[in-house]
Amino acid sequence: MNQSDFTFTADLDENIDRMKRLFAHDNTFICRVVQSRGDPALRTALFFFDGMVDSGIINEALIRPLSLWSGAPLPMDAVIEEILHIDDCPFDPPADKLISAFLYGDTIVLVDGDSRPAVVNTKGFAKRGPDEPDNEKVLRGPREGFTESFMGNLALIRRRLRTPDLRFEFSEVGSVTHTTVCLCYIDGIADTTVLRNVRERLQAIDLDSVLDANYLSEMIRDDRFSPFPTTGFTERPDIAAAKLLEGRAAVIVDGTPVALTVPHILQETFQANDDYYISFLYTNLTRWLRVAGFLLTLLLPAVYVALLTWHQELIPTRLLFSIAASRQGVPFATLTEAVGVLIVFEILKEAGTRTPETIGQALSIVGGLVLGQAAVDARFVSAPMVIVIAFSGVTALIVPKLRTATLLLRFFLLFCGAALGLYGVLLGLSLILAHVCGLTSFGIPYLTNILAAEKHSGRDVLFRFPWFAMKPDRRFLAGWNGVHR
Amino acid sequence: MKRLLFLPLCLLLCGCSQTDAGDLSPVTAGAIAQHGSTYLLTAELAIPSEETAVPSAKTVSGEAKSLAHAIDSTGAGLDAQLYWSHARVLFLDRSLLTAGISSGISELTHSSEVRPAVRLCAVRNAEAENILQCESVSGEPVGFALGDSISYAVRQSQTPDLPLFRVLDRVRTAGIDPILPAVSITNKQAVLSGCALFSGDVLSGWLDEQQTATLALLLADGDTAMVYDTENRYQLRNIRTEITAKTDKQPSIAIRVHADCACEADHQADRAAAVLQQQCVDVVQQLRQTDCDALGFGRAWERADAAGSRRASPDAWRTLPVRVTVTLRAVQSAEGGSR
Repeated sequence: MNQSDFTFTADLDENIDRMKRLFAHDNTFICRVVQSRGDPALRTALFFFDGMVDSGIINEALIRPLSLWSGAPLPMDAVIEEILHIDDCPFDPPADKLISAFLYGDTIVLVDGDSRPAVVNTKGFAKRGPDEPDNEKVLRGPREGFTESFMGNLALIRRRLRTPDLRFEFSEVGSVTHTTVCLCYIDGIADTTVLRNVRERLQAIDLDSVLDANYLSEMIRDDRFSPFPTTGFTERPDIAAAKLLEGRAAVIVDGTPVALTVPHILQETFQANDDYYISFLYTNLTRWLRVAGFLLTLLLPAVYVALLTWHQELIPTRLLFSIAASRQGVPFATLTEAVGVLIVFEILKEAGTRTPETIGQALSIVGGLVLGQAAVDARFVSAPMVIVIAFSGVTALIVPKLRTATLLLRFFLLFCGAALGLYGVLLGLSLILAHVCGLTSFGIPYLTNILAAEKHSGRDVLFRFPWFAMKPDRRFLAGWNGVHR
Repeated sequence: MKRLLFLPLCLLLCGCSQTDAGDLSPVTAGAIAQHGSTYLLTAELAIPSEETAVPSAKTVSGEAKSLAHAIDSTGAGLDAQLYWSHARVLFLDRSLLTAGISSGISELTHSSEVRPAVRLCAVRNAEAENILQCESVSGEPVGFALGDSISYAVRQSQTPDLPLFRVLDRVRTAGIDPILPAVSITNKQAVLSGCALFSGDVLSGWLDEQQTATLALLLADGDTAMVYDTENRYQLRNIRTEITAKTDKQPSIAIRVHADCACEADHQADRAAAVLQQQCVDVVQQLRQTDCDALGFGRAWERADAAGSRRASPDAWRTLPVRVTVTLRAVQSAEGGSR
């Protein structure tokens, strides 16, 4: 049915028939007819969906005053004014908005003799609390997280940014789902070119459904095939608020507990959630550990295979003996062994992610310890290879924002190292660097602030300065005089 | 897409000639002898053991007219490819030392198989290949263990630091003769025993351990050195040796040694200096007797008076008197105490 074609008539019974026909096979559809105690001529019909509405509001704000009304029958606008106890009640909205709101938990109210409906905000579907997100836990700091509640998420942001410059721009995407999307930014801080870019890309989205923020991310991001993320994700309102304060924009999608933050540049990938809630000394140490971890996870398997395949002379003699002894009886070439162990590691990781927590612990023991030991004992793989891959895998976990990049580029560098030795690894790194240099996020170069770190940023790139030494203007593009690409 | 396909294609093409670590037999030491015009090369291979951390040893031999061919022929018939890059030391047989080492060393330097940093060692009272058959105290292959011992002795200034590339440099440089650490067999075990002296590239004599340590100190090869008198031992640090030639009316060679001596009093440093001075004089005398210019007197002489040295006989410097001055500064002992 085309929503915009839907209309009501002045005959209430006919309207009820029409609605029942429209939702004939939907058992959650409820039609409640209320007859006024004073004048039976005042008949009102309420249409709503079971489970989507707050029955308290329906009973107390709609049915009770309507049934107790002892006056003469009134038209719809007068009913809203004089009888209903409600705050948010659009009167006679366009048909498509009416149906959309109705499907989203609002109640349609129709009065006999009047074809103009009212839509009452009675949303009351189940919501979970703003618990701390599992993916973004902090040692210290706020423990709230976004939920699937759209307005609740906006409230969580607004609560942290009590400024009249905070803007929430709503739009709708998805030809079937009609998902509400909100573009949040702080007027005067966010870069206007970036905002224009985001608006244009959101408007250009042509999808039938948007069920998660990643739908939008893949549609609006730059360099869609790059393993490096050019849009950021966060499940924490404090992080989203901080991003807005730095001049970024956030996109909130109805029904998903994730906010999309744009532009997203490389410096953000090494920043952790609680970098700002604990001592700057500790933060700086861990930030560099993350950088080292990222390099280690990329390079360790590649360098190990390169050394064993091409540059045995670089391995200390005793270590070479040890490696050679452990490789005795292993039937695979070093590269094959490395690829195999890496794949097994990723399978175990994926299985651990998808299984319930209680089984996950047993899985990690069986997978990591038992399987690893058995594989070494059975001469499927050598112990040093297990150590190298395991260490590489563990270091990858400290940079979760670059998960895709580490997974793909680790294999890429591994093949480079196996084919051309350390020269291949350097070649691979050069190609990656060239690729990263060419990346942009909403017109902003991906390496912005990295090369002239403390000059252009709020002193929060290579090092997190203490709060008393931070620049007052913390916009991530403050001082940037580059050109949007 | 074409760009994406290009890379894996390149990788596949390049990755065809790879050699895995398991395909190699690392050589830990070698012994070279010369019989007439034929080189006999014995390689000590380390066989990794799964049960123990220490590899066992195996020796293979080959002979050829040149060392490069000998290296190739040594590995013939083995399952795995010989890998010389980890060889720590090459033992040179007396037959090679007396015939002249320059051609053999040149060949080794030009060989891409052997590292230029491999250490050379003269075998004193046995055939070189017998060294590799000796008992090993540490359980490791004997050549490998001796390589460790030589490195340790170099760090302690007990023996000169002369790996292959430096020996070649000395052989090719006029006025500086090579010296090599020496090993001998005692009670079926190979032990370091002084060093071999060369005149030109031919073996001319030997120094004992004490003299070798003094020579190493004069060459300032180590960070630290020890001086022993009858009662005490003194540790020297910051050793600076200066060898100069005087070309005035009474030409002479002067050796000045400066160092910090870890001791408690100045008189101890003076006593150590006196002991060291006497040891230096003994070593210089021994070098003179064996016609070995390991300290570079000839080069110092030529540098000091190029015109005069050319006018005089090329070997005139060999008869010049040598003055040795040792200055030791007492510093607080590492073990404690005060001056």
